[in-house]
Amino acid sequence: MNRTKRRQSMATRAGVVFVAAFMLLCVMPLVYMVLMSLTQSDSPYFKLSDISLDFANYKTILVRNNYTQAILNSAIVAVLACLWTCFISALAGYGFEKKPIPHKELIYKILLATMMIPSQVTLIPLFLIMREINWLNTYAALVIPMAGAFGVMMMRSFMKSVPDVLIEAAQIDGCSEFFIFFKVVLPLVRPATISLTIFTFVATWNSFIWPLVVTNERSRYTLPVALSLLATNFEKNHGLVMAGSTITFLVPFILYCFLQKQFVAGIALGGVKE
Amino acid sequence: MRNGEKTRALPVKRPLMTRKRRQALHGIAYIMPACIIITMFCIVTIFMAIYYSFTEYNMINPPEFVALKNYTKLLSDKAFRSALVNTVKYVVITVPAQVCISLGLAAFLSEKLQNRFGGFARSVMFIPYIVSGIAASAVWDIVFMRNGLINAALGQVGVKGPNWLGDGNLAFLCVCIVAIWKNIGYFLVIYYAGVQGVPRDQHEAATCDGATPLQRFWYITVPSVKPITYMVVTLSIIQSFQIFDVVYQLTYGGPGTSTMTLAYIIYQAAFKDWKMGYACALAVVLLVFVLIVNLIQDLFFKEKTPKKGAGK
Amino acid sequence: MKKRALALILGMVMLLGILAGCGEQNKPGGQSIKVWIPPYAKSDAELTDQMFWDQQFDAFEKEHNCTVEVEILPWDGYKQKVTTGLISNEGPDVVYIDTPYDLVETGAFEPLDSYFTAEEADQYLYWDLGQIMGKQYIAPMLVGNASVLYCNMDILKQAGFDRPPETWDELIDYCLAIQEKVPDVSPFLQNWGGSGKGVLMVSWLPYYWQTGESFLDAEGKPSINNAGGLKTVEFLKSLMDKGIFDDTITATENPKDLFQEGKLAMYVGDTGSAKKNTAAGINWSVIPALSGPTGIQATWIAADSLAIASNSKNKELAVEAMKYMLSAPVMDAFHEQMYAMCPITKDAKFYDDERFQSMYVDQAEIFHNWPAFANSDAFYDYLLKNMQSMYMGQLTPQQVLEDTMKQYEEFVS
Repeated sequence: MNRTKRRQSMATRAGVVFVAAFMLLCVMPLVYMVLMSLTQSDSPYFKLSDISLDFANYKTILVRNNYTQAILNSAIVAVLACLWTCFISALAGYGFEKKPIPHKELIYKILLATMMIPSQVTLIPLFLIMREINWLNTYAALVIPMAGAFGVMMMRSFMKSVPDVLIEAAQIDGCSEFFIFFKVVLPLVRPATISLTIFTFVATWNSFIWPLVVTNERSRYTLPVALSLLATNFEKNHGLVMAGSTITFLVPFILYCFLQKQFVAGIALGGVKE
Repeated sequence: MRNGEKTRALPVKRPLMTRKRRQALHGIAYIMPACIIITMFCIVTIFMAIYYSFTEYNMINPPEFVALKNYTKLLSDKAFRSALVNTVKYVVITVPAQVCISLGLAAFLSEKLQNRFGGFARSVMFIPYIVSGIAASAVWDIVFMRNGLINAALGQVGVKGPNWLGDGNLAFLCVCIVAIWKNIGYFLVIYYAGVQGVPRDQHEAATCDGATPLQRFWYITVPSVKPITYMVVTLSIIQSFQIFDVVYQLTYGGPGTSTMTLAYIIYQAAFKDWKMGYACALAVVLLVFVLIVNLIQDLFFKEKTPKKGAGK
Repeated sequence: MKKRALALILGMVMLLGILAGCGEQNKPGGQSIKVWIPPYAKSDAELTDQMFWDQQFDAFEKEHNCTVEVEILPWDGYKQKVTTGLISNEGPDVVYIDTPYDLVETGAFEPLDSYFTAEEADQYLYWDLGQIMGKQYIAPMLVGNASVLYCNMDILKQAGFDRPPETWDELIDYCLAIQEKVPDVSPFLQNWGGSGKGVLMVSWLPYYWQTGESFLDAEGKPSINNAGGLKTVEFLKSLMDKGIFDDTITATENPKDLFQEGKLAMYVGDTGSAKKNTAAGINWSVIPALSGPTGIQATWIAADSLAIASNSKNKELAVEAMKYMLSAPVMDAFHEQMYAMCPITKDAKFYDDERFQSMYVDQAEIFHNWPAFANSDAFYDYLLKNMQSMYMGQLTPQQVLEDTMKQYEEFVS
């Protein structure tokens, strides 16, 4: 018994070491990225003495490469996408959960099934549609398609926790539909709204292939597109590229630091739900 | 359904009809925006993709119907063949790796490290997930380069590092590593929540019976998180089939064709060569693949757990 | 109440976003044109391309009472962006293009013949390069930047040579000698780890032309599966077989970086990097091109051009802007401040390293520009990928040529 215990504690210790090593693996490249961004280096590694805190690369990027515009674009698009997705999803989630719509389970299943579709399948037709309605190079094209079945699913599962009696009571009191939705229901599903917001924000902020094909002017590039174009045919300055990567990474990271619980809650919910 | 029952229980009959109908109308109004958006951007687009896959379309001249030409072309396209093989290979490597590592970590963290360090570990491991694919690839690029971080480190101890991004198989491995690195945290969070949900008394009973931690993991944890595994596998498969950012930024599909994936050649065919019809045919093949894999996976999981309990 | 207000704001913002997005396209008045051009300034230079062109266009805008929006598009994916722009009806009026054939074929460009008088056309030194399918569709703008062989003379001297190699055989002899006598440097490298046709313009096409074979057949289709093609690929493969390249060649992107560090004896690169090689303190010498097995000297040269979009709403003004960009004062400023290339008009000056001036003038016949044929990007992409596969041991030289031709033919069918 004693020996097994000792062996177990050995195993636990080994496990802890493994976990620590894995943590290191997770952050090492990112730490490297930040340090590298502070150097002026043509080679992919640097000496500690190369690091200077004058943020020269950041200045270069922000001033010269139009990164400020890209940051602004990313922020606008991400915020609009969050509002848009939450709004659409909350409406639909409420409708599906609380309203007697004919064939609603069938409709719901069809909506959910669209989550299986790889984005590359819809990419080309979506591009053609956007071109047809003259939305290429617009924020709208970047925002509107971000809403999807995932948000509806998340919202609906949260709407379950809203007691029916509450809604019925409000109806009997003669409250308008509008009032019930905004004043009774929405406040009750606030945690879900926050989770969905974070989720949409990160997804939009990091999305690449869609902004890449739908924007073709600098004034509309989002950060990942601007970053991927930072290296031109003529030369590669690793410090600059790393500064660009750091900026792209920073916003979701700050958000994560402050809203960690909601991040995790939203994802865990998505998983446990099914 | 539940709503229907409730309203039926109300005593008055005639106003009920109108009230129910009004409620239904309201409901339709509520779901309408989402339905329109999703129909428009997901369902209609699929039919469009199918339609265009039977045409030749370069965006300038109107689409020209060519029947199955694009599909017959697929069969003899070398790039398509290697992209297909690579994508399948990629799914086969990354999905099990992601599932195993994240489940193992989740179980270990929940069993042994329910303390502050464990919480910190989970927070840290989630960070790569919020890095954009492009930024991640840019960073890993300088790590894997011929004279990059890894090889410089190996050089310090006198080992000549391998040619990471220049060798076909290694470059493929690099893409897998970056993708796994990025996704582990996400699946870990999902699994962790699931493992937490496993009743503790089962574990305690098993411990009393002398079960080793490994046995407990295998006979209690794994079966009880099966629905979550189903979910994780589904998500992971869909994600893996779509791998694009990393390939685009890290290897451009090369060297040779060794890291080309379906998603990458769809992009190339559509937005580099402007062969919309051909690209749509590729996309349809991708869709069919995802659906087939999903079907297989469904059967596999249903067989093992007759009652999946996935009902909403 | 807060929620309702929020919802209202949300709706408004959405609407505004959409309007802001759409509104910009329909600017009133026709007196505005867009110019799209890729960057030439170094990424850390004081003067950016945007600043340069904005400055240059100031005078033009005043004179014609119009606005010129210059959009600098990165090289990566440049042609994709241009194509998207041209087909989306909100693209450029004046556009810079390097391989124009596909876009000319689809009718995206306006023929220039009627906009230029014979006298005007006569002013341009390379005007005829813009003839495609019997019409003048493009006006050559940046000519030069040829792929030339740079040699680090210090290393060559250590290996016992006092002049650059001149033939294929000499190149190999030099490499083997350098490997033996100066083992800590690489003798010769190519950029097979890169992407796009930029690799082929320095690492493949010059050698092919040096065999004396022509790239296009009588019908104007590419045809490389011939004796010359085989010689080219076998020669490039022999560099690896003889141990001059090792397996890292498929990951090598920028030989010039190593050259500038003094760790590489020879490479083929653009004349534009001469200044940086000098600045890096390298004692370099250059020859424009090697001679192939039959003694033919040949290499690649850029002849990138400007074109007018056929869906431009203001073609007259666009052509004026184009003439302005090509005029001697503007091009001189460009060559002096941004990137030195050959003068394109009779009244312009030469700003590049003087070693290149005589080369461009005296040896003009050795320079070849991109062959003009349909779907060239796909062709180059196949060729590049197959060459990489060859260096990884998956294909033989004969298969590289066969597969490339087969893939291309399937692509165009």
